[in-house]
Amino acid sequence: MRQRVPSDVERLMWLVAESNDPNAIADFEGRFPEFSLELSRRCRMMSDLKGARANSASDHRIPVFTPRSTQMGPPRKTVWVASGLALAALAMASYSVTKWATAPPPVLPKVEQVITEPVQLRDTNVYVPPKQPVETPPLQNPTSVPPNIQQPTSPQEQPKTLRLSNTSLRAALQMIGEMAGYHVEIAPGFKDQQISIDYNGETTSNMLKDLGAQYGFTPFDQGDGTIIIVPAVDGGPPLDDSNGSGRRLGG
Amino acid sequence: MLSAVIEKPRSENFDEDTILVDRYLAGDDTVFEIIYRKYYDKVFAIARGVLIDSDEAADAVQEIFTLVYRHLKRFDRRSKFSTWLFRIAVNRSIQESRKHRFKNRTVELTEAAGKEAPVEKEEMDPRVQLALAKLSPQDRALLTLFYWEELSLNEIADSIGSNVNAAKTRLYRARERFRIHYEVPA
Repeated sequence: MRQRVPSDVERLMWLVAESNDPNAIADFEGRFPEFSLELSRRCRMMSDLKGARANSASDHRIPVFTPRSTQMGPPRKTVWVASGLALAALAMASYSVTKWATAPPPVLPKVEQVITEPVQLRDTNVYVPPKQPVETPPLQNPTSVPPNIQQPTSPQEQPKTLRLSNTSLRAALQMIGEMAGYHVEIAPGFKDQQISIDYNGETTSNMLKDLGAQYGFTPFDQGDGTIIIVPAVDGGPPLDDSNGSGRRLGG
Repeated sequence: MLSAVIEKPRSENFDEDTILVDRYLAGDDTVFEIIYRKYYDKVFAIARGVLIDSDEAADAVQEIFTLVYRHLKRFDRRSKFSTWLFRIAVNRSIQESRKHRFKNRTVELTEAAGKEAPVEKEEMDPRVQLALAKLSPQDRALLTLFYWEELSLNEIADSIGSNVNAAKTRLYRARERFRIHYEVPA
């Protein structure tokens, strides 16, 4: 069990141990015999500690001094911050170069659709022909159609030229109706006969009226593209009234 | 007899270094070799006491004298040249010791596992070496300056950058910690 050393004796004991003076050691042991063992421990410790210096330096040769190129490095924190900044700058530079190298060419504005208003022509004297051409039925006898005829709005009102000779009345009516796009139906009791006609620039209705007045019948337009030929004349005998007064066409 | 021990001076003033420094600053580069050889053992002892390892100490000595070689113009003569030199040696050795902290921990773990520590070229008492290794670099520097270089408390205070009383207190505590580690049965 180690005995507790008073502070003043402790201080004196360290001085004696550090000096390693035999006389001082003997003097201390004479005055404090109870601490002689503790003093011997500390003397040994001081001897070993000081002797360690002699052992470490005695055999060492002095090398030639050559100033080193490396100075004291900056603090580690500064090194880390500088390294981080350098890496960030390198990353930014790499990103910029890559982006610049792989960028697509500048895109020109692309016209998707051009919408233009239709040009409004002013009133001119230009003649616009009708879309539907004039249909000419096959004729038994050659006929000549004069050019440059003004086309009326409806087919039956268009002037036509028709010349027939020695033809039955029934066939002549059929032909006149078909020229205007009508279907001609002839009522029972109609008396057919051989006729010759020569119309130049007459409309369908005028032709039928004229023939009805001559041969005693009345054309009735049904409104559905059909003309019925009735062998009678209003207000008179169907065949005898050749004037055709009071006759009518259409409904 | 005891009073003679207590009043024994630790060191004497030495102004020869000032003359050498003046010659070097005047352009005589050969003087630095004289300074280097004169103080090599002392600087090596400080570095060895702090770093323990001889190779690391030898490397640190070269670093220390390189710093002195380049910054000798900064010596302000407010203290002795040796004190200025030892301050550089202590600070640089402690800085180097922090670099090699991992290695010292590895040594401690090896010893804790019951294995023998590697034997150094210049053999130090293993018991002393073990006790020093368990101290902080600052404690090792204080013990080295006082017991190996036999500097006075004033010089130690200058070397570690503190006042005399603080240096004295820190030295006593370092010595006590060393004693505890030294007397621990192996």
